[in-house]
Amino acid sequence: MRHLKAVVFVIALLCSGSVLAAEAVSQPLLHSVWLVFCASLVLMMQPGFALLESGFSRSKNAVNVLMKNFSDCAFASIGFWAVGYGLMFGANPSGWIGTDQFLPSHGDALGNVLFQTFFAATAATIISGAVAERIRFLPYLLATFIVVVAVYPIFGSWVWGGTSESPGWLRALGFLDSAGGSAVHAVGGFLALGGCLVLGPRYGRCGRDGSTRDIPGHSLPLASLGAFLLWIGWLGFNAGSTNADFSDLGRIVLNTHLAAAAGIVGAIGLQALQRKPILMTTVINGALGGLVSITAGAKYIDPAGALLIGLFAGAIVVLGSALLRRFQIDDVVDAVPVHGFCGIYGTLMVGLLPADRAFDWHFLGIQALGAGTAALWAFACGWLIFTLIDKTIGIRAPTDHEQTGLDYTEHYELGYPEFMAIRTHPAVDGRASEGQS
Amino acid sequence: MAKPVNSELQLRLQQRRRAVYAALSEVFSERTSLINLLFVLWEREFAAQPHFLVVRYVSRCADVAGLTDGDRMQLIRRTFEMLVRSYDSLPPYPESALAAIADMPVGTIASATGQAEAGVRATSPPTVAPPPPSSESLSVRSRQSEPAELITAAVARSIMAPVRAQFRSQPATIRDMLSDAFKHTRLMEREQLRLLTWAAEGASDALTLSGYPEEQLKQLIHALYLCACDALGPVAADRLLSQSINRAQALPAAMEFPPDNLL
Repeated sequence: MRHLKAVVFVIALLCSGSVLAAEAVSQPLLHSVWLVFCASLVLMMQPGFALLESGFSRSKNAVNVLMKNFSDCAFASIGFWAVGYGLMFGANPSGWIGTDQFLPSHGDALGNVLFQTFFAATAATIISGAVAERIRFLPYLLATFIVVVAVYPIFGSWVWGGTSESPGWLRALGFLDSAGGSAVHAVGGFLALGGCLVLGPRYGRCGRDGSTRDIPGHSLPLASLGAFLLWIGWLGFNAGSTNADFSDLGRIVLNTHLAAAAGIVGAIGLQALQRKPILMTTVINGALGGLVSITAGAKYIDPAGALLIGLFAGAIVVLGSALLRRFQIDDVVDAVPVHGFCGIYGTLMVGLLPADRAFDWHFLGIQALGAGTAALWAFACGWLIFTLIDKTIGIRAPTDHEQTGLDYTEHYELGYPEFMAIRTHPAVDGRASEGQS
Repeated sequence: MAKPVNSELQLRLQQRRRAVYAALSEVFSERTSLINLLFVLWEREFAAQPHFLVVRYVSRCADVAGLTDGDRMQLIRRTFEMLVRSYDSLPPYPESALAAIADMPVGTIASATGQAEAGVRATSPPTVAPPPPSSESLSVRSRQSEPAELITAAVARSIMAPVRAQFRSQPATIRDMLSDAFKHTRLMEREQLRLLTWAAEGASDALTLSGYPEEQLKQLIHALYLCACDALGPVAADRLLSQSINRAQALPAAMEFPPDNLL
């Protein structure tokens, strides 16, 4: 009956914005239902990432990208539930790592386990797009698993772990990151940077004259649909991180939406100022950059600040992408500028723009420490993990697989078997399915 | 009793022979084998034909050798230009070359002419992959070489044509790109050297392949694909590979060796 009331409350809240039902349910129950609802929205980010990354990849790798997104969600969920959650949210006497709550199976925290599991899956899947079209499938899953059972939760324990008596060390310093601008996105983005460096660019991406060649994705409609799904999911991503405090809910969601919109404006504006073509890919990433940049501070910043943050995030995406090209770093979906650079930038903005602590230099220093730590930790771990896997079982797909396309070589399935204008693989004759049956 | 040869007719034949040889030499410069083969084609089928059938000869040359429109037009222009010159102003053709291949069977001529296509294309601006050789010449060739090798050679030429066009004056760069590509392939050293030599010569002659196992043929195409990636970018290389395979599907040899096998 209590659950029914809670569901009725959430529906009432969603439909009318009424808060009259608030008194009908207890706060923990309400929070639990809210978390489950937001977790569902965050799960929607997975198809968002899948479509975005797949659309930004060539058609011969579309299935591989989708498979990575589908599978890393599974591996990340299991790994985080079994180990990661305990490392992140378990008792943290040292301030460096959680020590209990492994394999959580009972208690009121299960809603949070679910919600945080999807956060972990998000951090893992950020890497997928950056290293697309040249990474082997199973080694990628291994890397993902290591990320969600160690890299992500350990940093998360520093930011969000422990209790008020024995918090994670960054939390103890007063570092603020309301929904994972640093813990999820910067970590994911810089892990991706490490992976990109170890893997190297796709063959032929970089010319001998130092230029970087465009490799257009096969479907911008898919990519834009993915971006819209991400936008919707992001509302749950940020709004779910309210810690049972619903008073700022409207502001958080409004900030999130405004930052995305401003990210688009920023990306368009800078491209127009540069007198360059206004690319759909960059506009999509501008929106995502805006969303990433407001993630750390959606709770602490007013809407005008969110607008400002989003506006510059759009520009950071454009400039960050150019920077990667200049250094010949091949990031298929620009995950590093979108998640890495904008994650760091958004975290720093929390130290500059909150109404009650604007331009508090001490606080800004703490934010800078946290942001820098996220970048260093994630980049070092990413580089180490990908290097170790590369040296042991190999992580880079051979060039003949790159030529044929990973859809065929890794999965023996094609995304568009009847509509391939460019065909670099033999015909699929159904032998695989015959073998399975 | 043989009819006496009219001296005026003989002179006209000699004059036209010189004119055609001079035109072929100008258009195909140092591609001696190709020039000789096309010259024999003239002697066999067109020397005694009326003057206006020179156009058909050029058309036949284009079909047999897979000339581009630009080359075809150039050959027509040069041939007509030479034909209106006086006998004495034309350089003599080498009798030895004519004699050496005069007895060559027609099938062999067509086959050799087909294999020399790459040499022809080196003189043209191959911004697009070249069309497949005519079915006539290929049918002759198919009888003489393994289908897999014919298909591979056709795909190889087709992939390399735009690369050559892009790096026409930089053969060393093409060699460097191929050398880098070899690091990623399982191509045997012998085949690597052959490919490098082919590239070093401007990839102008036919890539002769014999006795290659299918896996090595795949690796050879892969090396060329990587070279195209390096030279033109992966998007162009994908398109080029796809077009080359599609074009090779039209060859008669594709019935016995589907070009898909090279992917």
